[in-house]
Amino acid sequence: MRGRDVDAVDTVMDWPATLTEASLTSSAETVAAYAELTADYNPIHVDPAFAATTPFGRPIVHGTWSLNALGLAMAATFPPEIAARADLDLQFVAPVFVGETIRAGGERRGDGEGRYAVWIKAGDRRVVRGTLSFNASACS
Amino acid sequence: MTLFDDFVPLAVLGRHAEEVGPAVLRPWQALFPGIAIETPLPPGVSVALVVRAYMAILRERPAGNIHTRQRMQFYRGLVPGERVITELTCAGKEVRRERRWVHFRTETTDVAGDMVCVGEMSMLWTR
Repeated sequence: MRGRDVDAVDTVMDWPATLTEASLTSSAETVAAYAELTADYNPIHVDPAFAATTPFGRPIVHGTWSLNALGLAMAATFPPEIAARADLDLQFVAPVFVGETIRAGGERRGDGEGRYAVWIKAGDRRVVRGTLSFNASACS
Repeated sequence: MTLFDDFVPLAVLGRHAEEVGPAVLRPWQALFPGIAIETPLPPGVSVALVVRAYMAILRERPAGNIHTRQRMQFYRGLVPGERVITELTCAGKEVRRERRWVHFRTETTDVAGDMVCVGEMSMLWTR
């Protein structure tokens, strides 16, 4: 639900039609570093022998690592005080394999200002889809 | 080892407190040198702290779980040096098409009890 304060933001915020796209490139090193940062050593990310036994066949990057590409896109698009109030709802619909470059972006939805359909792609594959809006109760 | 059958919907699984300090900020900055460390900190730092809390609370997990959905509602950006507390709840579980899904909710607050971010995550649980 949008709050009065978000509506107030609408009056001063010129919501752009698209997010400024941003990209990140993964590698075995970035996956290991993200595993250390988050303490997430799930072998599906860090153990090629284990990953080979899964339907993916090889290691995949952490889903929340990918989320940082959207963080970059938001930082490039919105003022920090707006980006800090984001409400992101994302589905990880396909794996990102280690070594792939991902690109994040989004388009403003027609049903309201300050709402975006967002995506992350690896090449032509859509790997994340979701929505971005702004946290009404935080906009005070 | 926490298995699918062990989860009780709506049960609080635990709380984890952590400082937004060098243990998080140094590796985060090394990983994302293109993202400035300034106040408020980027949302990815909050996400990393939420994942760290999840890992600290649910230490023994089956190998190969898959993260399929993440919602993050950010109420404000973090400030270096502050301490946050994350509470992890089992929001629900279900079996669909012979796959086991566990849904979690996280609430991260500051030491004053004010909300920093709320997360919802869904995991495909292997066992």
